[in-house]
Amino acid sequence: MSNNKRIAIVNTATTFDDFKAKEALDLALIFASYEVPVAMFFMADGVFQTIKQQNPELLGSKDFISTFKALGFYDIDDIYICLDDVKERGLNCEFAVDNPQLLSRQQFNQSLNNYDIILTF
Amino acid sequence: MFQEFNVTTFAIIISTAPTDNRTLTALKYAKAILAQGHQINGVFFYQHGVINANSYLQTPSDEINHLTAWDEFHKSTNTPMHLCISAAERRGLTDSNSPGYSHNIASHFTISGLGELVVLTDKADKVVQL
Repeated sequence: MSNNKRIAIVNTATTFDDFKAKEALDLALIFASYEVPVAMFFMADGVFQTIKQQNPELLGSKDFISTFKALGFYDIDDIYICLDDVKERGLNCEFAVDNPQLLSRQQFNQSLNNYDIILTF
Repeated sequence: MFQEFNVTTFAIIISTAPTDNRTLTALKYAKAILAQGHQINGVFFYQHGVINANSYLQTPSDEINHLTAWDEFHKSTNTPMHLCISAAERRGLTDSNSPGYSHNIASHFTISGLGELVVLTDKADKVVQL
C-alpha cells in the first residue's frame, strides 16, 4: 500500500466474547498480507486472549489463539500487552504470544500514540 | 473573506447490528460528513454491521429500518457500501446459487472482502470505526 499508515489493532474483549477476537485477528492478518505495518495491542479484558492453554475446540471453535505464535511469519512483530491489566486480573501464567512487550499502562498508551489508525475490538 | 477549506476523505467502518442504536449514530455521522463538504470513499460493514445488509430486515413502521435508511443514503450520495462477505456468511447472509439458498444481500451493497478495507484505509485521510 502506498501510504503505509501504521495500524494498531486494539483487543479489549476476552477470547470468546462475541467473536471480536477472531475478527480482529483476521483483519490484522489481512493488513499484514498487504504489507501494511500493523501491531497488536491487548488491554482490559483483551489480555485474557494472550494466555496459554485455552481450549477453543471445547466450544466448537478453531484454535485461532495458536495463530498468535505465528504472527512473526506474517511480519506482525509488535505485540503489546498492558501489564497493569494482566496483574489486575490476577493472571500469572505463560503467554500464547512470542516475545510480547509487557508495558505499564502509561507506556502502553504512549506506544499507541505511534500509530496512525486505531481499530478497537 | 474567503476561508480556506480542506476537504477530508473519510473511510467509515460500521460494526454494529441494526438493533444497536449506535448504527443510527453512524448513519447520522456519515450524513454530517458529506453535509459539511467532506468526502467518504467508502462505508465498510464488518462484524455485526453486516446484518444491516439483510434484505429481509423488518421493523415496525414507527421505527427506523436500517435496510431502507442505508439504501436511501447510498442512492442519494452514491457512496460505495462494502460488505465483508466472510463476516456476512457467518451471520446468515448469502449470494450463493447453491440449492437451498436464496440471495438475501440488499442490492445497494458491494460484496467485498477485508482487502477492500485495506484499500479504503490506505486512500482515506481519516478512518472512523463505529
